[in-house]
Amino acid sequence: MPWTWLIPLAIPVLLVLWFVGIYNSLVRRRVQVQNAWAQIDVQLKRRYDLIPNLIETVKGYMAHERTVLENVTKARQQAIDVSGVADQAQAENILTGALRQLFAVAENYPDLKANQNFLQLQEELTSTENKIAFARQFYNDAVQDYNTGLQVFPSSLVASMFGFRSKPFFELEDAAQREAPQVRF
Amino acid sequence: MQRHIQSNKRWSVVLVLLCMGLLVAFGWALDLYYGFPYHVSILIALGVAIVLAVTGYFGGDDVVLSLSRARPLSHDENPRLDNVVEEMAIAAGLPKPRVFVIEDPSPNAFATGRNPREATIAVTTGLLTKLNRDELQGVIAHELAHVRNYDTLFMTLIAVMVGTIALLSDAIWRTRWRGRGGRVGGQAQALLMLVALVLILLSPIAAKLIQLAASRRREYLADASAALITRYPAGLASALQKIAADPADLVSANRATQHMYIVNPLRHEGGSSLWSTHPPIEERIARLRRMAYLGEGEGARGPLTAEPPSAAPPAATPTPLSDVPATPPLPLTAAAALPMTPPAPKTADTNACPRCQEPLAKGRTAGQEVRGCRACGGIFLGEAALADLLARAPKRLADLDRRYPNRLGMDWQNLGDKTCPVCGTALRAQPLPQHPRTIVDRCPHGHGVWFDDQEVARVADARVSGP
Repeated sequence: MPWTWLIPLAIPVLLVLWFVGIYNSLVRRRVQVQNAWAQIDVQLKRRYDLIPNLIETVKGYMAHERTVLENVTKARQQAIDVSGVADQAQAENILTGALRQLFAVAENYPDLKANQNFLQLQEELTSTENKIAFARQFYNDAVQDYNTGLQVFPSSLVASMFGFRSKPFFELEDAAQREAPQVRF
Repeated sequence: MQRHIQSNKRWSVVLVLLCMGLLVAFGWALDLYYGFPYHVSILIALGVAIVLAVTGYFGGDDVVLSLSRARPLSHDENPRLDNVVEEMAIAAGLPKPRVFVIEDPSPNAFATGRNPREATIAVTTGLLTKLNRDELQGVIAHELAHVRNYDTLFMTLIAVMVGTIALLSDAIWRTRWRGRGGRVGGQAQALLMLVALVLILLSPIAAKLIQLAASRRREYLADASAALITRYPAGLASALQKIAADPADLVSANRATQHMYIVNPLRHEGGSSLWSTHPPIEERIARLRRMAYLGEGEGARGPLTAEPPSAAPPAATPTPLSDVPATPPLPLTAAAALPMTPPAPKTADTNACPRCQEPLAKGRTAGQEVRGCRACGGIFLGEAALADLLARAPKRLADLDRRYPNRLGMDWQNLGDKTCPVCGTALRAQPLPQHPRTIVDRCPHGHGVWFDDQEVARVADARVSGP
């Protein structure tokens, strides 16, 4: 047949196409991870922006809770200063803890709890906290998808050839917190 | 998932072509029956069909929204709803949709839009007042799942195109008997009249059938996706329960839009269940409850809630454990203030995974019996087996994690209630004596120890490499 000579030509072409497909899917997943991280970043920044307002609102009512307020301010500054996924996660955990403490203490101040501004900030901070949690969930899913792609055959070949590196998970609990015996449900 | 999206797009095209075909057939039937000059009725029908297809695609969402009397909602008007929508959009990895509200005490919601970038979610004011934050998250996640799956494209097209055809056929049905004789006479005319009749009769039935086919699988899939997005199936389950229990009908819903809502808004109108567009709500709730990897009801969960989970379905009353330090009432609480199921021994060895309720796979390693979960990657070991393996064969123990991979791919730390696969009692979290840094879940009746994914390897590796 006249077209049989095409076969030896077609095989390398198909191989290259297949290769390109794998490479592109890896790149797509990597971009997904980067986007997911950007989303976490946006929400973290939003939380940093909300905290000064919160402190301002709360200060008048909670004059005796100086340490609680200072802890939040300090934790916020620390979280802004660090970089890197693991350090960021740890700093955010500390900030979350400090905020929780603040809201817990706020329960003792009925006047504060009736303050419209405070309630609004509480809703926004709660939601931002949720957004961070969900963004982290989405990020971890994306990382898992990407890292799996790096490890399974045959995309692992392409990955190692082009130097794709695995991405770290954003862990909520840090090692230090896990060490302390705590009741989990 | 990708296949579902493709099928939605494909069916959307088929639907549009089908509706256009039906309309043109109408025109043709009218043409034959009345004998208009220049086949004008075919041309008109074609024109109407094209206009309909274009508006259905580009303006379908606005048509549906105005039909439902929905209006846009600003952030300050209801920050909670707006925030929940944004939270869920982040969790689903979608752009934030527009948020609309329908003034109606009956709780319900729907989503529309031709693609995720042009999506809108509309909820009734009744939904906002009746649901707590967890439930609202479930509902919004369900709607976003429709958006992500391109169900909204298909469902909006159905609402617009099928709705119009149903209206048209109604109109023709009314004028049908006033026809005069056309070019063709006698027998042929009777035949053509029959064809016209069949077409006229067929179209609303076909429309109904499409509505039927449209909804069932979609709803189940969206429920499941919502569970995955929120990681909390109980929220949506209890929302569905509340919506189903509400006696009021949604005033602005009609036959053309009923299939778009999360729960059929016309369900109180009676009529046979054959015509219902949604799967039975009890079945949907049951399926959600069965996705029990987070336990029934208020298990601990990743994201936080501003309100306490109020309408929690399980009858078991939460009892604080004596060894738990009293937790202050935290508004930003995640796991801290959530209760634990009291001991409730079941009758027999259920062999259900403490995490995800899948049946555990039994096996042996270094002569000891092991149970592992092939879904979540956890491992359950008898006390004696654990002690023996740790002392004698830590390497084999570490290998277990590879044998039971975490197929569900979730981070299982701090999620959900856990019960002993042997006796059903709630497991107690304790540091493992041989490796105090790892907190494991132990059966209080001594049936064994539960290791989450990777925990066994961590313990065993520590033993191998020495303290």
